[in-house]
Amino acid sequence: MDGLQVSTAVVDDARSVVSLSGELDMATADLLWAELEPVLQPGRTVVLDCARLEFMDSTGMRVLLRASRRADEVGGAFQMTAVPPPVERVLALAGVTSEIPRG
Amino acid sequence: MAEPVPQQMTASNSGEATGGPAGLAGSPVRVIVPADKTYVALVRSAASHLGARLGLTMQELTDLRLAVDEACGLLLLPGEFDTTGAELHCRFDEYPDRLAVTVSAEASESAPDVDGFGWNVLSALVDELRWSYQDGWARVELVKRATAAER
Repeated sequence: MDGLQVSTAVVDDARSVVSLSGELDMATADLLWAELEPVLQPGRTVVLDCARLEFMDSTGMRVLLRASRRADEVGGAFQMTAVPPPVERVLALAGVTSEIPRG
Repeated sequence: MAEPVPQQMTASNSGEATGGPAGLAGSPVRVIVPADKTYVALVRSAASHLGARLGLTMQELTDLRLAVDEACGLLLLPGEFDTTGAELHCRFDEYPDRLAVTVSAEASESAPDVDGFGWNVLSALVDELRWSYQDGWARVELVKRATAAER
C-alpha cells in the first residue's frame, strides 16, 4: 500500500504548488485536506499537480471540491494541472469536471 | 495474500457464462481485511490482478479498481451502511467473460446512500450492481464484463 505523498512548494507570494504522488482515496483524503487547508489563502493561487497521482476515488474528489469552494470563499484560487485520465474519469462521472479550473 | 487459485484454464471464451464459475478458477478468491479504510488499497490491488487475468482493457481495469474501491466505501464511510463488524469480506468470482465481486460486512440494519457520489459513480462503472441487507450482513455486489473476451 503506497499511500499518498504530498509536497507543497511556495513559488512566490501569490502561488503555491501542491504535488501529489500515489493514491488519493478514502484512507488518504484527510492527509491532503490537512496540507491544502493552510495554503488556501486570500489572493493565493494553489495549483494541484496531479502528474504522479495514480488513483482517485469519490472521497478524494470531495476534498478537491472542498478546496475549490474554500478558495472561492476566501478570495483565492484553486487549480489542477497534469490531470491523468483515471482522475479525469472520476470528475467526469461525478459531473464536476468544470468545477475545478485547470492551471 | 489470496488463496492459491487452481490453474485450470477453460478452452474457450464462447460466452457460455451462466451458472457457476466456469472460468479460470474452480473456487472464488476471497480477501478478508480489517474493516478499515487503510486496507482498501489492498482490495483494489487484488481486483486489478484478477481483472488483468480476465483480459480487461486499461479503461476497464481503471473502472474496476474504482468500482471496487467505491463498493468498499459503501461499507466503510459515514452516511453509508452502518458496519459494525471488524472485517471486510471481499469475494471475487472469475468467469470467462466477467468478474463478479461481492463486498460484505456485518452491519446493523441500514442502507447505502444511493443518491450520493459513491453509489452514482459506482453504478456508471459496472455492468450490474445491487446492494442488500440480510441476516446481519450488508452486501454490495457488482459485475464487470470484459468486452475483449466477447470474441
